[in-house]
Amino acid sequence: MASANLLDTNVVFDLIYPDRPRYKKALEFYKNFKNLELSIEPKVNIECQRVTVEFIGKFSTDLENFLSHRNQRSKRWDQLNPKQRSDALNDFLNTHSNNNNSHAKDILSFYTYTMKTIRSNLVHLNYIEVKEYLLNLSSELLGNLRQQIFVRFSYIIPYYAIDKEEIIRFIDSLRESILGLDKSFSSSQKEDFNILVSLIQIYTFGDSESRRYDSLLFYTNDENFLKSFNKLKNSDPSLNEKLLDGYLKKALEFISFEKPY
Amino acid sequence: MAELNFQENIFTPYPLKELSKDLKKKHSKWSPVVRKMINEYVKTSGEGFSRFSDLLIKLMEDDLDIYNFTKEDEDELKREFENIDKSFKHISVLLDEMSEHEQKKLWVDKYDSTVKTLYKLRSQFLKSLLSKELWKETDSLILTYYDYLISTMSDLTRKIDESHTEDANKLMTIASVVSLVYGSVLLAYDRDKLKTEVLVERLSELSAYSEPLNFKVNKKVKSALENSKNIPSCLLRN
Repeated sequence: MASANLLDTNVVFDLIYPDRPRYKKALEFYKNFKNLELSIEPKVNIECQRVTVEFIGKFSTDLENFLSHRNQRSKRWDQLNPKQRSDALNDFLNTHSNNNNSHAKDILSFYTYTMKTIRSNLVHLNYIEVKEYLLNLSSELLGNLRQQIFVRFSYIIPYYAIDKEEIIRFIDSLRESILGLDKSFSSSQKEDFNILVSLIQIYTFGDSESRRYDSLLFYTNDENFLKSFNKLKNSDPSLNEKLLDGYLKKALEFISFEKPY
Repeated sequence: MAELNFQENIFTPYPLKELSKDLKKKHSKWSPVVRKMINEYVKTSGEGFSRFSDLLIKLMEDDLDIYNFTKEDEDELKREFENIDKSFKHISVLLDEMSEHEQKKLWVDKYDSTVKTLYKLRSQFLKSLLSKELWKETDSLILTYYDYLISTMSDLTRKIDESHTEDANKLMTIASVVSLVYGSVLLAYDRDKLKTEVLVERLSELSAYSEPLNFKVNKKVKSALENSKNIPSCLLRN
C-alpha cells in the first residue's frame, strides 16, 4: 500500500508555465518532492487540455474572422508592412476591450498575453501562413502541455476493466450518491465532481497497475472545490445507496484536500 | 465547414458479440475471402453507421460525458448495434473458422487502412480549411482533432499488431470505440452538425493520451509555432 500526492489543474498550470504569478511559490512546493512523486489522474489531465483548447479555439477563430473582414474592407493583410500589421493586431485587441463582463475580461487578458507572445512572428507571415499558423496552434500547445505533464508528474489511471460490471455499478451509484449529498457538484462544479469520483475510484479499486493506496492527498488552489469537498465529507453518505456498502464513507476518510502554497 | 469528402467509410466496425466466441480452428484459406467480404460490408453498411453516428452525436450534445448513458440511450444504441450486426452474420460465420492470429491480422489491416484513408485526405482537408473565409470555432480546431485521431488510431493499430491475443482483443475493442465515437465527430463536422463543446471535449480526451504525428508545416509557420509554447500560462488563475 502506498500514499499518493495528486494535483489539481491550477497547480499543474502554475508548475508548467513560468509566467504565472504563482510560479515561484509552486516551484518551492515542487522542490519538496522527489522526481515524479507528484501525480495527476486523467480527469485533471483532460481538464488541462480542455481549458487550453477552449481559449485557443476562440482566439484563432476571432483573429481569422477579424483578418478576413479586414481584407474585405480595407488594405489586404498581405499588402501591409510589419508596422501596419502590428497596428492591425492592436485593432483586433481593441475590438475585444469594450466588453465588461468577467468572462470577456478573462478572454481579453488571454488575447492580450497571447498577442504579446506571438506578435513579432505574426507580422512576418502572409495571410495564408497566418491561417496555417492558427490551424496548427492548438496542436502545438497541446503537444507541449502533454509533454510537460508527463516529464514532471507520474500518471495514476484508476483501475477500470471493461468487463467489470461491479465497478461500473459502483461508479454509477457513487455519482447518484454524491449528487444526492451536494447538488452544487452537478451544476457549477461538474469537473470537480468528476475528479472526486476518479479519486474515490483510485482509493477503492487501486490503479491500472494494480497498486492500492492507503491515502490520497489532493492539492488544489480552488476554494470552491475545498468548500464542497468538506461539505461532502461532513455529510452522512450511509443514508444513501446501500450498494456503496460504506465504500464512499471510507474513501472520504482517507482522501484529503489541501492548498499547496 | 471545410470539405472532408470521405470516399470510403472511415468507421472500422468490430462485431463485439460475434467475436467474443472462442475462435480456435485454423483455416488460412478463408482469410482473403473474409477480408474481401469485410471490405464490402464496411462499404455497404455506411447507412447503418451513419444512423449510429447521428445517435452518438445527439448523446454527446445532451451530455458531454459520452459514457454516461441512460437506460433509454443504451437500449437505442444496442438496437442500432444489433441492426448492424445482423448484416454481419455471414461474415461472422467465416470469422469463426479463422485462427486468432488470422483474425488479428485481418483487423490490423482494416484499422491500418482507416489510418491511411485519413492520412491521404489530410492535405486536401488542410487546403479546404485554408481557403475558407470566416471560421467557426469548429473550423479552427478541427485540423488538430483530425491529426490526433490519426495518431491515436495509428498508435492503437501498432499496439494491436505487437500484442498477444488477449491484449490484442482488449485493444481491438478500444480501437472500435475510438473509431466509432471519435470518427462520428468528424462526420458531424462534415455535415455541419458539430457543436464546439462536443469537439472541445473529445479533442481534450484525445490529446490527453496521444501526440499528433509530425505533419509538414511551412518553415516560417513552424518557427512561429515554436515561439508560442507558453501561451496558456495566463489561463485558470484560481
